[in-house]
Amino acid sequence: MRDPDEQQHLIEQATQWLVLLRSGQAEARDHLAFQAWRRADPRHEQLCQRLENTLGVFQVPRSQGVDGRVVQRALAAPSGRRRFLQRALLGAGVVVGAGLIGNPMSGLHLGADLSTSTGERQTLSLPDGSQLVLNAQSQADVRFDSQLRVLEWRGGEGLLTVVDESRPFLVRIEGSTVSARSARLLVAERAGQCRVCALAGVLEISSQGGDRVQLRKGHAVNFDRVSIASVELLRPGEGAWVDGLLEVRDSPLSEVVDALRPYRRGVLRLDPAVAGLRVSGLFRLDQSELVFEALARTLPIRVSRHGEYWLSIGAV
Amino acid sequence: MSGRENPHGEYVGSLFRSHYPWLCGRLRRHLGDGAAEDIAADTFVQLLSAPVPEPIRQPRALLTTIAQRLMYQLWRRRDLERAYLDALLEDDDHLAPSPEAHAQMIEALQAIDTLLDGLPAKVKATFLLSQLNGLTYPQIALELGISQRSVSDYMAKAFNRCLKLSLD
Repeated sequence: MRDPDEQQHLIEQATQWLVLLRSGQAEARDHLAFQAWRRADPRHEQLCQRLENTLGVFQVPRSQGVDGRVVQRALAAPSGRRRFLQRALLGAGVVVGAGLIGNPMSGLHLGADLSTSTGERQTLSLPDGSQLVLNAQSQADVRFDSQLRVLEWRGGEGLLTVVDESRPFLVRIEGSTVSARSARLLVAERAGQCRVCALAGVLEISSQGGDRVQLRKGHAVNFDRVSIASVELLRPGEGAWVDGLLEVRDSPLSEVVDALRPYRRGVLRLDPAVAGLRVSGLFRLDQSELVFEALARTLPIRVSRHGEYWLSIGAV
Repeated sequence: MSGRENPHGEYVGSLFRSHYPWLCGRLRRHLGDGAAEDIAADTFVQLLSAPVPEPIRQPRALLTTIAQRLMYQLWRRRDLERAYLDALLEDDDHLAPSPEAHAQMIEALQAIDTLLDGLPAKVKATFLLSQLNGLTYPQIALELGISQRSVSDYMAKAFNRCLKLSLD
């Protein structure tokens, strides 16, 4: 099979057979005809054997009953090469400039400009001198131009210290816009639920629907794509993740578990029956195993593990 | 790597002694300590198992190239694993696999990723639904909202790729 033309021809023939046989509409005589083709030439036979070998990679998911849709979603994971570039640039002390690695197309399927992985927190300098601390599993894109400083929030939590400048500073998050001049704020979005807290300065939040809310120091507000909730006081311990801590006072267990998720690889399941149990305490985010041990001692819950990657919390 | 009767091993051993700390240092800029040392060690293992003409003119350039490829593979593996676990989370029917089965699955996932790399998303989706779910073309067309003609075309693209790689 040295001749490339011949090889190409062979591949085309085999492709036609395979496409027919997998259609679900092939009849018995098609299968017989294919067997005859396969036997007709040792090169046909060899090609088929090699293909079977190549397709052997599908044996594992098939034997484990993994759905093709799950594999498909996994393969759609953004590639780490982009992250490599970002790390290399950040590591070299270069700040991330507008358009430098930002993708003008949709950022949805590609990695974000700024991102952290599981269990990782990072402090970053923005091109204007503003500072961003990213919690684990958080992402944002930087879109600065001559008129505006825009941070497109892609998910997770961040502590943002905005330096005053002639260009307004905007954070776009789930269709709403948070604008700031000189301010310190916490931004959070997980599963479409957003929360913004003003730690210093004044913020203005405007929703897609045209609602506006002014947020003064010490206040916070929750919102989603549809509506903005009423302004409330900052909760004690909010933003403790910046120091690697989780401070909760009479909060539901689900809140503790959700705060730990970005710090754990694998699957973490919480039985709704115990999700509402109240918890108070100060925990280290980087030591989630110890947190679960402590919780299991004080709450009527059972923590069970299946290997390294699966942990489920249920009722005793 | 006792290289008395193995000149290649001996040569790689000398490269290891003179460049391993340097390579670890370089990799630590991009990876955690443990991972940096693993990748650096794997780089020399690759060099050992794939003989190259000796002496290598620019050993550090070659080491960097190999290490970079290994690093991309490692990252891609982590990305795949994370995305796979996320996808499983949404799939409530799935039971917890043993750690061995999980490790096998992640390895298979990386092999599938390499096999289908660069093919359009719809082609991948079509091929996976056929390979793993055993769906017929009309069923795939319905699920993906495409014509049966497209399903055939996509299947042809995917098989073409697999056949080509099989001959390499």
